[in-house]
Amino acid sequence: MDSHNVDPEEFYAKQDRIGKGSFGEVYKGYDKRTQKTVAIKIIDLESAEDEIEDIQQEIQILSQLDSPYVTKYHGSYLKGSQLWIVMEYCSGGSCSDLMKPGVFREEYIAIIVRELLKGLEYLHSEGKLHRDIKAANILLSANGDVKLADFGVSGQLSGTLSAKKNTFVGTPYWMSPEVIKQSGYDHKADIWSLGITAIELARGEPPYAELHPMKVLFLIPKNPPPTLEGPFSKTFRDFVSFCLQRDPKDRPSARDLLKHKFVRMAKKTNYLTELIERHERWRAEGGDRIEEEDRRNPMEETNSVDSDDLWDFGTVRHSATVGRAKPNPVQVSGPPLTWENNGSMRSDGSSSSGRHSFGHRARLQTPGKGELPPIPPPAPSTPKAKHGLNQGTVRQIVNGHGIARELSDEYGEDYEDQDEHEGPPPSDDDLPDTTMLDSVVLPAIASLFPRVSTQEARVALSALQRAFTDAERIIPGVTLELVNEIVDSVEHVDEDR
Amino acid sequence: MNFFKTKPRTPPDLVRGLRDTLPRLESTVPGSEQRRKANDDVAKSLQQMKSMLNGDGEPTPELIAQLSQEAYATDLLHHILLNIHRLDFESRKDVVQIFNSLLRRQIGSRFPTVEYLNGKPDILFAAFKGYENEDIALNTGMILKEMLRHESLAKMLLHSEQLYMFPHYIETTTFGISCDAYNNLKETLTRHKPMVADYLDKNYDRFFASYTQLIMSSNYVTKRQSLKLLGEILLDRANFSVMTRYIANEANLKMMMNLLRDKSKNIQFEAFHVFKVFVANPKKPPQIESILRRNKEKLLMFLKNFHNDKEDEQFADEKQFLIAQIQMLQ
Repeated sequence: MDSHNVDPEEFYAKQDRIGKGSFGEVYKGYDKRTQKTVAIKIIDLESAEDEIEDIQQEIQILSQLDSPYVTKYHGSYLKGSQLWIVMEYCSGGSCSDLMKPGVFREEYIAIIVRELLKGLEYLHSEGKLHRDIKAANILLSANGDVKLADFGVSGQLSGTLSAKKNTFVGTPYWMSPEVIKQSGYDHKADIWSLGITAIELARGEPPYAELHPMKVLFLIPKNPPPTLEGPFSKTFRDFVSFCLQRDPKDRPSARDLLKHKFVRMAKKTNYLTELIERHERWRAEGGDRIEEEDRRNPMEETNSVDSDDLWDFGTVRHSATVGRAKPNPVQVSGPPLTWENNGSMRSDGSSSSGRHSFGHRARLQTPGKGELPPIPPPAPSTPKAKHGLNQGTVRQIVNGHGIARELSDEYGEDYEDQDEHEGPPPSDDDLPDTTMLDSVVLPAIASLFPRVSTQEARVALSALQRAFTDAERIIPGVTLELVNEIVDSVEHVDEDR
Repeated sequence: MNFFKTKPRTPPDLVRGLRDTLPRLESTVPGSEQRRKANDDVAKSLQQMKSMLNGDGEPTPELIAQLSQEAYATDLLHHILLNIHRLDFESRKDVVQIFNSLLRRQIGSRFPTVEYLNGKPDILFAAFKGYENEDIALNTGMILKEMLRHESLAKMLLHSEQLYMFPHYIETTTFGISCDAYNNLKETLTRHKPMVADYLDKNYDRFFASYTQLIMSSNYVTKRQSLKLLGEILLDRANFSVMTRYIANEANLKMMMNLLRDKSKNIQFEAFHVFKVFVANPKKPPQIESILRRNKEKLLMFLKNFHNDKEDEQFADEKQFLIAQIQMLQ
């Protein structure tokens, strides 16, 4: 048989690693034929959790996209069990990287949002959804062109565009209510995520960033949509509120939003190179030292028995650097530097409710208005990397599809009732009793199986699953209550620190 | 009626216009002004056809019927496929959509396009041959996939000499295309079960000789995926007699026993799902039983340590069952 498969290294040279995720790694590289720089994602299919078919389906979709607003796909090659996916390289980095020296000014955000809308307009006209819009997945080219990245590769990949699985797709903080409820969703889910991303770009993090991601999964469908708070123009706040409407039907399409004043007034994209330059200056002055520190000992962090890592949703493992970005590290480096917004973007008040009120944060939050961001002191890097992890993309496969879906729908109705009555805030009792069991606890236990090696241990895990199921049958809702208790105590622990 | 737009071309005009423009793609020099013009014209016609078939604007079944009739009468589909590599990126995607809309077109229980293609084998084989050009392989692969949903078209490919090009396409193309070819092979072999069972039964030797090449491929993905598909084929009830033949063959058993020890865990696992059929067979032929008996202790030891970290309960049960079966061998 003629088995002269193309060795990717014939065509591409791999250089520095620029990102890492559970799916594999992302390298900078170049095409040996043209000398053009490329990004190379390398997935080891032998250890990837996704089916090869799912990865291939994503590649098929990628290969059919051709837009200046979407990172271009160049090809994929196999080397042993390693899959090389060659993509356009965006030297400007991701918006979450670029935010490390500080959040963006409104005028920059307007440009980015406009370009994102163009990208979404293209995708949606092709009948495709992105499903994971967030700063980490927005890349800038050297001259400031904005590109949507990560139609997923692996981890998120298989979830991202294949609708066949009943999956939570996206990243909890950026997810729309209907995606979380799994009650069916369409391109308007991307519009919601765009609204959240606009808040993220303006304030450094998405709403609820201080909360545990699992808690957020319950808050988003329950609470009124977030709004953009802070010293921003009415037009900007108005734009965000358009995106963040609970009923997807009320959200305008990408095409309609392009007519909104906020983006119509925006400047040209080459203006965004200032953000790239700012980031370069920040790095030159040692701004990424903290990041380096994180990079050095990520294993200790994730392996240590820390309350945030108590659960493995199977999914948070798929987190992190989709694109070439590290998980949103604004918090990692402590200061959402107040360079341009003069300290007002994230009031200490809001952070005091969450787990971000660490001593060092306050210390770092010195307003540093001026041409250059202050060089962050080599902050204690301790408690943070894991939080970045929490913001990674979640891909939660829900067991027992039909059931989970039905329940989620009920959940939605419950919510509506609450809303109408304007009564006391809905309590957790209104949630479908077994969703927590079916979609969180049982899968979490299931994900432990591969990590134990004895038959005895597996039996113990099965017994644990059965015990939960039994308890749930006898005391409906008990799993949810238990998890809430744990989440609450997790937060207390953190606050105490 | 829409009075504000120029009157759209009638479907026959549209199809004939496109049919007449296609040869200009062949005759003009790439990069020339004439070629660019021809490409533009083709792109416009394809877009119009696509939106007409999608039912954008004011679709009427009559318009679509006229368009289809004209497409059949002018042999348009074949000519489009022969020129698809000359089209621009978006036009290629439009071609896929046009094919797929036409293929799904249904009148009662009849599929007129399928009936048309039944009489034009060249069109299906032109789509299949798309694997030879990586620029268009994924587009033609999608067209082929839509064709293979229909039993008569799948049968045409299955019973053809070209079927045996699949291993070549799977082995010599880059990952994305190779996977696409594999998926279409899988589609051909699994969608229309009784028809496939009949084919495999009648062409057993040739088919499995060719298929074994895929299993023994040095390409990780080819090997892993073709083993997985083999497992699916053998375990399908429709293929009972094929399975019986397969698991009576010593060479097949030896191959699987070797693959159980492949360096890739995933390949081991897929091999297990074929190996189990040999062991579970209540009427093992003597030559099979003798190999198993000869290796009884080794197999027992091997299986005891085989993939103990899998959470899959069914797998654990099956493994226990195999161990019990092997233990009983005297």
